[in-house]
Amino acid sequence: MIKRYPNFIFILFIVLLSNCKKGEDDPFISFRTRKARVAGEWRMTSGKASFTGSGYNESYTFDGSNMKVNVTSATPIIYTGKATLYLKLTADGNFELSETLGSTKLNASGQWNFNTGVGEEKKKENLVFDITKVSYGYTDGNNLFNRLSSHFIYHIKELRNKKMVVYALGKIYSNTQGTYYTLSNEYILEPQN
Amino acid sequence: MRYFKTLCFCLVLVLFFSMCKKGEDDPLISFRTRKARVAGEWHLTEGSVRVEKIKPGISNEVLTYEITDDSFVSTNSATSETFKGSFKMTLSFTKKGEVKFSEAFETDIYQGNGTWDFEGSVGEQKKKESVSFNLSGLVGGSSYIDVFNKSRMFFTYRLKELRNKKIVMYCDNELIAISGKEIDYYVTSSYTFEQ
Repeated sequence: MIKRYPNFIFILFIVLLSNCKKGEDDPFISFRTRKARVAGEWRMTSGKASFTGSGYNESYTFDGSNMKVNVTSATPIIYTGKATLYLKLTADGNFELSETLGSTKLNASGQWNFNTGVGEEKKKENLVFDITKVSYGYTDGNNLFNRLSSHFIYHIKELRNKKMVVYALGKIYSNTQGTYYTLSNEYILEPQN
Repeated sequence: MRYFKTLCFCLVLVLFFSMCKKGEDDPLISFRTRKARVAGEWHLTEGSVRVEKIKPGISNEVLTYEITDDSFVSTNSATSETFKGSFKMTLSFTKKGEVKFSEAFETDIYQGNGTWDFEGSVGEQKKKESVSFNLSGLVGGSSYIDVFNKSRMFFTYRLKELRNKKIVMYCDNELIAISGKEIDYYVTSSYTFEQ
């Protein structure tokens, strides 16, 4: 009987820690809170994005420094250019974003938060961003990370001390005729240093 | 001693329930969770919307709407024009996280559906003080800042008051867009819903 207690406590401990797992690729056990893991200075090391409109698609691949863009329309085109993304998230809920895509640049800052998990969403599974200041560029320009908006949400697929994978899917715009424009993007982020 | 214990128990109870208060006009004590209070069918009873369109160093244009008793009055500072018309809005939340809204300015109808969630407590925000809307469908187009969805498929509102039969949600001078056309858009709005 005495021997069983340590086993029980160990199992309880494992179950408790495994509850930290939210994203599909999260570590099974983590000793740091999700907020502590999110807070830090991140740079994109790879990623992809796809923007689709009516009869039109732009497909992006990123390697952390450059991008390749396949444009599918009446005349298919391939672009290449510089592409970087830096994010700084602090534990007190502020963030700074710097994204360069070719000749387009966005430097912005604001507040971030987690979701709380209503319905099928798990608690702290999503990151919500609210841009309150733009020091360079436009929120509705050609930048992708902000999903052409000052308010946007990302799903955390993987959250480790040294790696974060986030993605977003869905419609970003609809016109009066009911035609939707969709954007899906996914980024692998690693610490800047 | 018995009196002291009862007093302590009551204080702890009041302190516990008062922690449910998040918005500035929330009830001090509520026996229902915030999710249970949000879930339901709501109709708009009062609202105000102010959209500011700023061309830095050149001009400011302000569009306002005052909504009461299923009607609106709008004014435009640039043209000094005033419009009046009928207005109806309904909003529905389920505990499973589904949301839909319908907003009708005269014959112009905007309808959206998707999922909702609360925001967490990172930074200065209190947990469940804000509600987020992630739309998967929208009728009427997403270009209009003066509509409930603020021209977006994903948007949030702060909850000023959350009672069993009343919700007041608002945003305050929120940046909507810094546009490539060198126009900055900000919105301040408040919506009061009742069941």
